[in-house]
Amino acid sequence: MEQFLSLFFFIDKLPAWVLAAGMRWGIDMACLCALPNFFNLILHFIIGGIIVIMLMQYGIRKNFFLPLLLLGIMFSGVSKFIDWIQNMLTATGNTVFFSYNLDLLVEALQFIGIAIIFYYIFRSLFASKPSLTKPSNL
Amino acid sequence: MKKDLLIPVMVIMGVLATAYIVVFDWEYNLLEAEMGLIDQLLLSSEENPAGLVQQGSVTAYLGQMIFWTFSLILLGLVWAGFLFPKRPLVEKIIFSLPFGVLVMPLIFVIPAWIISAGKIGGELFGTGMPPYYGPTVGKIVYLISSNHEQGYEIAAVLGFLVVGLLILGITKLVRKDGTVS
Repeated sequence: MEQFLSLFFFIDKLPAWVLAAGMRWGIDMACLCALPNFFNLILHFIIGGIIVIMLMQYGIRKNFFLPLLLLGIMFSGVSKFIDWIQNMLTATGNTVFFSYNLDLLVEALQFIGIAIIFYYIFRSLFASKPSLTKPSNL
Repeated sequence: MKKDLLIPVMVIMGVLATAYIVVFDWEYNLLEAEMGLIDQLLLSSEENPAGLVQQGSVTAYLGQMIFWTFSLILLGLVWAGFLFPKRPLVEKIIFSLPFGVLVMPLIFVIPAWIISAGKIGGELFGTGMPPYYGPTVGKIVYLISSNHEQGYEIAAVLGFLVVGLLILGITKLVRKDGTVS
């Protein structure tokens, strides 16, 4: 197993330009969470955009599934934005940035966003549907 | 007709990401080692201008984010080109971002995951620490403290791009009826 694992450590075999590019553009492992958070934010924008397009196309109609889904995505997106800002403040500052209150806010917003999305998804799944049986007088 | 692979691929990525998170949340020694080095490695300073995050510049930091976003979208589009060519562009982009995040740190995540999973298994089953844990964790900590993992990130993305382009080229050459043009 040790021999197999040693296959992954080949930094001395990489060309110098790859290492130079790594130093120029690489993101430190400790800061790597910044990139998933950034992508997460982009995905929130994409999904939010799709919901807005659907709302414009289909309207609100009688149920509020799409507006509530959008509200959930907005809460979750704001949470990810604050999270990413904290990553950026650490990465570009002179000390490790950590605010307990901001961290708590991130978790709370994420929880509210997910709760709204899940509440409405489950409500839709378990909503009572009209009976498909024919009325007896027909 | 070729079967559409979007859902199976996304499910596999989700399983891999969950396994990755569960193991690293459990076995956080590596993270702890890295966190202890943040001041030295991550933060910019006059003594360490080559540092890691572009000398503390917000615009350069945003530049890094944009660079990786476009690089990983390009990588994802190449792989989506043969995995699910018929899917719309927005779905390919949605696939690209998590796919890129999984690929980027892969070279040091695989050994780190194996030794962490081995240690967890050893604790659960009472077999003790696996013999390969110590030497490998030493190599990983050296890798991180020497700022070499960034070179691996570039190498992994380039490697996957080349492999993806090769597979895409082969699938384009092979016709629907299975004959090679």
